Amino acid sequence: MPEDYLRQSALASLGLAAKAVAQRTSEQGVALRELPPPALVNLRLAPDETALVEALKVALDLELPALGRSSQGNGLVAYRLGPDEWWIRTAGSADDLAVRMRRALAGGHAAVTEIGEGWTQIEVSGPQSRALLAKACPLDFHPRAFSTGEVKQSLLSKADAVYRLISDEDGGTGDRDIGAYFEITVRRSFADYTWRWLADAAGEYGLAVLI
Amino acid sequence: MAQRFRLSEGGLIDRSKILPFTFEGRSYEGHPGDSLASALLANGVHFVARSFKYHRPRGIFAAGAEEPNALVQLGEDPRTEPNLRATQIDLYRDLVATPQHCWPSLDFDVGGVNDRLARFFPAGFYYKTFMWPASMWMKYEAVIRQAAGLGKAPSGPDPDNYDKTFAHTDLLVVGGGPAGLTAALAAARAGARVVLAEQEPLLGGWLLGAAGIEIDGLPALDWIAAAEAELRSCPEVTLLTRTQCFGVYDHNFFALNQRVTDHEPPDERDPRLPRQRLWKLRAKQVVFATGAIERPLVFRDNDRPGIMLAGAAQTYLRRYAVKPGEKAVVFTNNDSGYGAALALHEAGTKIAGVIDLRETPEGHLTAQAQAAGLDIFAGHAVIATEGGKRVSGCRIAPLDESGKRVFGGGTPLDCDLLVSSGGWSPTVHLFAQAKGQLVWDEAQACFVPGEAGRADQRIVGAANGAFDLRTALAQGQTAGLEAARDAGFKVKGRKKPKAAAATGDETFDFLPARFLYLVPSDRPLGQGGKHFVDLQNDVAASDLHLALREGYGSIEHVKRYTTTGMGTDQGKTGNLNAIGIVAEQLGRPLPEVGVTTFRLPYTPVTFGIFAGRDVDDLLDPVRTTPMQAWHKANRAVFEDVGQWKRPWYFPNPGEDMQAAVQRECKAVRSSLGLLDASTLGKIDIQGPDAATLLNRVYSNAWSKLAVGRCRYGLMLSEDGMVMDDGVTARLGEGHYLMSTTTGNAAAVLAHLEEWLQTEWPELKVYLTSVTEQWATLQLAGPNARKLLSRFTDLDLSPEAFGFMEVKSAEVMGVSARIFRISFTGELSYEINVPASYGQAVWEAFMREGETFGITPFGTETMHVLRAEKGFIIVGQETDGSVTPLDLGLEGLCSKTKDFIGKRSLARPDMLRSDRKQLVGLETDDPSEVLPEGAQLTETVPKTPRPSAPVRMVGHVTSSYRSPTLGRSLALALVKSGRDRLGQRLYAPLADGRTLACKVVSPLFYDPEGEKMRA
Repeated sequence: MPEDYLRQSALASLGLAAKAVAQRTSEQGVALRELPPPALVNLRLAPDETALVEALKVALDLELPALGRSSQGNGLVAYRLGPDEWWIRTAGSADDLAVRMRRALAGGHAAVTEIGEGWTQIEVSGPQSRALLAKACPLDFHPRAFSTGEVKQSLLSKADAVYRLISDEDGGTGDRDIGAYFEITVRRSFADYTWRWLADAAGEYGLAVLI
Repeated sequence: MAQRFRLSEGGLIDRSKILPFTFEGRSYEGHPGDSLASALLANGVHFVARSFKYHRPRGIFAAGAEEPNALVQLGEDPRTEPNLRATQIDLYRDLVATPQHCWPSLDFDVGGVNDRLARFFPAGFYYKTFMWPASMWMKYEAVIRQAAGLGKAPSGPDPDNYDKTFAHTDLLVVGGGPAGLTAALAAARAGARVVLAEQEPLLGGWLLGAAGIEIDGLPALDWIAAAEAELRSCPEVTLLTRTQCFGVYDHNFFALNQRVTDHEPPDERDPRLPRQRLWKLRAKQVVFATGAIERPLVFRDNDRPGIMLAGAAQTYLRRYAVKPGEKAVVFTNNDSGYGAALALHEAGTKIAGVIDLRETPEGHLTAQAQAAGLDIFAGHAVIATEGGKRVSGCRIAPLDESGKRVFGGGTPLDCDLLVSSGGWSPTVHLFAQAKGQLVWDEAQACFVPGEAGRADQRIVGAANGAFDLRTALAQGQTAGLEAARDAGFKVKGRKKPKAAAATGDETFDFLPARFLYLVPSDRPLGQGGKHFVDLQNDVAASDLHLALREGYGSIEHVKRYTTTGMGTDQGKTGNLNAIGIVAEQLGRPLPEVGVTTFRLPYTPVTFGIFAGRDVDDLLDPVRTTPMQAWHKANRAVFEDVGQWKRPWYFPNPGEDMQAAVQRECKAVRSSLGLLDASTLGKIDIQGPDAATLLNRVYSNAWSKLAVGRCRYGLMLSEDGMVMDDGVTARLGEGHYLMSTTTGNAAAVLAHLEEWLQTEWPELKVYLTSVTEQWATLQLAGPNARKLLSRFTDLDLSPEAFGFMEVKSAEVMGVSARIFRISFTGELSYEINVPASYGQAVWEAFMREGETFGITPFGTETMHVLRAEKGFIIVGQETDGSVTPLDLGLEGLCSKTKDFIGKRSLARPDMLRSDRKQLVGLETDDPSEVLPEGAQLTETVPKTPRPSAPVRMVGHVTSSYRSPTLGRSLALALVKSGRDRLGQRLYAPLADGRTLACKVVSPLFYDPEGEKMRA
């Protein structure tokens, strides 16, 4: 893609940079951060197409995760969204990744589609991140119910969202004072609503905006 | 003297702090730890309300959620809430409360006349009096409402914030009394996640009002404190005080209302915190430890201020250090009433007498009272009370063996307090909401839990009919352990841990008792006074008898006819007495009469918590396109299309909508316009069977569409009606891009997935939504090619890039897909660029397009332009009852293949020649614009507003002023429309005028399509 400066985030109108701080203070229970625009490729592939699954694994040097899980390596993160649907996010170019994937899957029945432009990712962290997400979503975010690397699709208030626990710094001890890092992915057109909703809900915990 | 009835010591209040407050404009003082009710009683205020129907003076009757009388309006407009129980309002500094149901004041209330006219207000009065004529009901209702005065709604928006949250737990314990605490402790020690919900600010339940109890060697209050400390130290325990579990739903889903800052003065509340929070909780296991509610005795004129439940008096004395009277009569049928007598005696209240229905009083507390030398009148009843705004005395008389008669006219006793105890009813409301069975316990005269609605729901302690403390503690512990085990936790140790050991006279149950649901008087029922059963709804025993005489046999009917058990308290104190009285009168066993249905909410809940923070600009998601910022900055007026905000039109300063739309239309037709079409649905279709799928879901044929070509498709539902339309492009071998209407994007994707997954799993096709991957910029107008050529190297000549073709190219160096399609009828390109580049490309088009007077246009102009071309809009020309044949699109219905809806199109009704068909309309007066939705007739109605039906032959679906044609135009669905070309129809309007118009072809502009193909 040319001229990155031409690109505009879905959250541009919120002026987040002006509100941002370097680090969350101890009085702030939650931090929100807009993540870089995700270079995401959608993969539709039947899991019983074992030859194709294997070919892709070799080409990407990445295990396709099981239901409800994610996997990562080589600058890639794979999200399992459904029985025959994954996202692969790359730190590089989505175009290049899609080309590699199509090459690996050539001749088989699969769909490789670039979709990252249509999604926005937000990181939620801090000791109250679980309490905040509980307000938004009927999923159980307790460490016993939502472990590191897990991926779940649900609602965020009235928007669709994909949740992933990036890391759970409490190491499963359940000590909520340490915190967890969640990554939330929402459709671009819902990003502004989602951010405003989370920021409002986080008010009682003290909110830090990070960049 | 301030707080004249406050005891000098004891109670769980903080005497070091004074909290001033006002009730009905008068100033009082209380302490932290007080409820509004206890603070009022500390100041000697019993008379706090007028009753609902007779406006009789009423006092504080209970000390908890069951309070039927003491409903107040809390706060000042607009931060005000009606119908709150004074017994559950935590006192705070400068609290303001006012009484309800009275005008102009409590002391002098005009409505009090109802009491003197009581014999004219029998049960069912409203039904009998206000039934006819039905048309008058609305007027009656207004009068009744005013007279009833159920508090006042705030006049402005609620200034407070509310919140809601989901929650999950291994174990929910409802109730923080002794049984609930042991259950929570047992499960928490096993490591389970526990939520303990307690409606009061303090844990401990009835122990807070008890005396002389030790548990595990600790005084009760210390044991509670230790239990609370332990629970708070468990990271997996959530302690929710001031939290009412008010509703039980399927699959162990519970609704809890947490009063977060209600106990603080409004100006001290943390503005970041919600006032109240709704918890939507899912639990694996549940323990109901909801306790029991005391029943009053039903005697004549049992409703005066100063008459209250015995257990409530005990709570006010011990928990709040408030003496509810100087001279008390205690009226009881069981041992627990003596607890109140002893507490009162200990506080220095003179006991005028303990009136006991039992011939031979006995029990642990009874024995203590006997030892203390209290005057006990065994086998006696209170047969009447005296007093206006406060009880001043009563008369007592000996009772006969049957309990149906008394001897003599009674002996007077002076008193300013009369407490009564008629036994206890387990609080089974939530258990029963969850479909738990109830069984009649004859010995304790109450309904107790039978089989639970689910195996993972348990009920313990008094709520389970276990009224003695030792059993309650043991049940709590067992339930907690079992719940933890069933939730998958290892319960340590082989041996069951020993249950907490309790000692003290109050640890025993309330038996023995002599149960009489209706205490007789020296005069016939209903004469000279009333035996109130439901205090809140002013239902007396005589009303129940009347309902039975009038033929209502079912308790549910009796409830609805008399309103007993209705209202904000749902008959928590009165229901069992009502059932007992009905059973007695019917001569049937009480359990046969049965209970009325327990419904949520347990206590009333304010609407705010259901809205939570989903209000104002968070009410609903607002979806915006990548160019939203530009639209806003350039004065766009937005239209809601589903959740999307789409620019409707872009007015110049001083322009109204019509002027803006006319200008935009002219710009597109004469030079160049730019439309944001990003919201249209886009579905990426890949796989060898993609064309087969398209053939099945679209009515027209797709097999021969070449790569790089586009085609308009019509999608039908199974009933043959038009469901959606849009252009689909073939991007490659086995690769298509379908576009859908904005509003139907999600529905169409779901429709396709449903057919693929359930009917055609053999098709090798994958669908991926790419609606938001792309920003879509529509350049429309004769100069579209000229502008676009400045941004791309692509050969745009008509020969190289024809109408209905798609090409990939770089636009401004950005990879784009360009569709040469047209919804306006002009030369038009839809340029799709990755969403994040949308605004940059848009701005560049606007800058560079100035040469051509490029004009941004909105959906209204798009609608006008497409109407000039006779293009339909799904949802405007169609309404779910319009077929392709009706629209004149039979050419798009393939004869050679099958497709969804095809069979329906062959039904006789679809082939009728008199169905409504799409036509154009031109008004005789070209300056008149038909209103959309106008009905069409064949003749001019004789009068402007004919009373007889006029045959209508169709209606207007779209109507605009067309600057291109210099006149108005309309699209309409008209019966046999295509046979009526040239015919004159009439549109009688609401304003009395009738517009004449002519039926024409719906193609108004460039019928050959030369412009869009140019």
